[in-house]
Amino acid sequence: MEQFIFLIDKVTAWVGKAFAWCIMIMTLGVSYEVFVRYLLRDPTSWAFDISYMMYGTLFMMAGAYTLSRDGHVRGDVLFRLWKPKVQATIELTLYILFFFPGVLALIIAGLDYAGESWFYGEVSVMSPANVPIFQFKTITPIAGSLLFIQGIAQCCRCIICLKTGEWPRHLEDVEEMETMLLHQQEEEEQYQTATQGDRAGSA
Amino acid sequence: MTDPQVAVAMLGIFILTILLGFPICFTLVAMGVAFGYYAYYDPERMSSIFDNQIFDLLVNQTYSVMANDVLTAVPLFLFMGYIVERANIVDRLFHTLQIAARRLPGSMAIAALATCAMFATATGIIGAVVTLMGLLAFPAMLKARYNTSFAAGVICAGGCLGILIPPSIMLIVYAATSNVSVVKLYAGAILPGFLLAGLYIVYVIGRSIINPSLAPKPKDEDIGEVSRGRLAIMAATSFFPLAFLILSVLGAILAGLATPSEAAAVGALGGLILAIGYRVGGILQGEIVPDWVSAAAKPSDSWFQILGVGAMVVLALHVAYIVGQALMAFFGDWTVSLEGGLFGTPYINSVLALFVGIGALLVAGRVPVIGAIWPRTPATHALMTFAGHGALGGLVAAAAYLIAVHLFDFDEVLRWHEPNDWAVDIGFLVGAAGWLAWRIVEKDRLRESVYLTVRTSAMVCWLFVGSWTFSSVFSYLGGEQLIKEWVLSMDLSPVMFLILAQIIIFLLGWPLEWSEIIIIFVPIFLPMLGFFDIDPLFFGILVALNLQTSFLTPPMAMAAYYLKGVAPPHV
Repeated sequence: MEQFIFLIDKVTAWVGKAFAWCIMIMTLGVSYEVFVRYLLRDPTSWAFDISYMMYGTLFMMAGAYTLSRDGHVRGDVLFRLWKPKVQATIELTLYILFFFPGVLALIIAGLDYAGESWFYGEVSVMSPANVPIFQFKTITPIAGSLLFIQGIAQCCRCIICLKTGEWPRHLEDVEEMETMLLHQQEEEEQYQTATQGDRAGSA
Repeated sequence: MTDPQVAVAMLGIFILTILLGFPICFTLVAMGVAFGYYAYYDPERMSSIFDNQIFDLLVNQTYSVMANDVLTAVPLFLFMGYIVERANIVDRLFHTLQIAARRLPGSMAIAALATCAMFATATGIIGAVVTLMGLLAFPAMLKARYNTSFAAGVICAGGCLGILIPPSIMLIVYAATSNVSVVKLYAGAILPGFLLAGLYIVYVIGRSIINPSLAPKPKDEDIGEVSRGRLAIMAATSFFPLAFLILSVLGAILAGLATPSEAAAVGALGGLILAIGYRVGGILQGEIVPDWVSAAAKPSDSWFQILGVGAMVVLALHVAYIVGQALMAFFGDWTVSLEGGLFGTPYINSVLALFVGIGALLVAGRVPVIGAIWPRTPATHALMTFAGHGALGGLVAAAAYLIAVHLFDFDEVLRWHEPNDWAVDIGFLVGAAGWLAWRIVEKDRLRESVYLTVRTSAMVCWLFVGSWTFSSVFSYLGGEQLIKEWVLSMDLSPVMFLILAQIIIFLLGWPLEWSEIIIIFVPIFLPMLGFFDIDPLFFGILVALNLQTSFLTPPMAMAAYYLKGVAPPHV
């Protein structure tokens, strides 16, 4: 089952990370627009559409990736205090009760919405360049589906935890500066106590 | 139950479920959908069980988050922050400031506060500032026999400035929830932010004059004699570039020249250029040795190097030309089109570059300008080879583009677009510069910044997806109205209401993070502001100040928690 979880994690992480590079397109595109508009007074007709499309795409597509790395904010004041088994029971219930209905609604409604947009061949009204936006609206059901399969993986995590009493490990990934440093510090302390123990033993 | 009562029940259940520790954005979506289904339930109009207006509402709210032009600034500012955070700029900055302030009482504390303030301006993420400074400045201060709690206080207080000093992510998020303009919020927050930073510094100086044992002066041999010139160089390479970047981003926003997203994009690009600049400096001075410098050279490399040298010269000419054009356009109020390129002739750049390269080969070492970029060390060898690779690659791409345009007649499809031979020049220059930058940049660091940006943006923006769905159902059911009437019936004065609201937010700041508070709880207060005649702008600044304090105050002081994690064990 762990293999299955990691497979899903890898798929959603790959998608999330691939679309993360939209931030580079966004940075370069908007900077170019600033340059030609404010300095050369010759604005582009596409940069505004590009900027919000890249923004929308990157955060929607990363939703499942963020979920797999436990990045979505939660009120964990009480949650932290419970045993892993209790945590897993509650999470599993809430995934079934809250997560899947909500995400399913997003997928179904998103499909309708995107379908209409494809039918009209909808273009952006924000700029004269007639940038098409039906592909942008299709992001919603795709992101919803990614979340759905990631939700299945999260449920599997809960089930493993219910069986073994411990949360299964996550894949290695980039960490925030503070988390990274905290981990390093902990490992060093463990190492130090271990070596001190050795010394005491040998003495 | 009447509808408004259902709405209050909805809020109550939601607050209870927050405590269960499920990711909040999905709780919000689910509860919005469930209660919305009830709210819009109308058997006569529904042809099937899925034909409920809540689904339209959900997807419309999602789309309005996706296409929101205020929130576009969120990933851009995050990206800028992560780049600056990971580019080792902070330790240079702290070191320089520490030496610059060495004659003042409490010099290290002042340097730490100033570094925090500048770094906070660039990132706006609290945890990062506190941990980094905790690793960097805290041991240094302890070593100089500073009082422990004094030093810890300085770092926590400095680190929390990030939430207030613009461009903070929190203020953008508040702007998106309350429809106050970001520019006004920033203008409002900049004064208290820097005032606070200034007061901290005054406090530090005062305390250390009254009680010098808190912050003993560093001994001269600890720092060593530093000449004025050396200090000026250190400041020029660490303090001024970052200060310039920050001031131009902030200045552009506050002067109303650019929208926050535009300023953020330029800031991110500037941060990237700064990081690349530090790295090039390091590589040229031999401090950093990437794999490709020591890698064995291929025989074909010399040709690429010639092309690379030519490309760099042409690139410099081109940049000078464009800058000149831009200056003329800016001061002369002309419209200048970028198309046309250098000397107005396509293809000339590539040919020119080749000739410049060959010419450089003949005169290398005798002409000062070309001598400076002529490959002599392994590092410049490799750099010029990359420039040559990139230029050639760009040429090939541009040729393929031109052929494709002429063969397949893309004009019909892309009507607004006029394909022209100018693509060759652009391909050549962008290829050279882009590939060079891509090879130089530390890809691990860039990757980390990009992935962290996307994760944090997803966290913030998915919260918006949930919260907007939830709150529109909540107000459709009449919950907002009910709460408003209830608060009004308490007959509070505006000041009392303000104090009450701030106390609630302060208390919420202990268990919850700022994103939840601003996106979910602050909107509950917002509709009442109009009745009490309170400016949402003023309210927003107060909330920011308040949250900053609440992060500093026990029992749940996040800042202290982060510092504890990295501090030496005996603290």
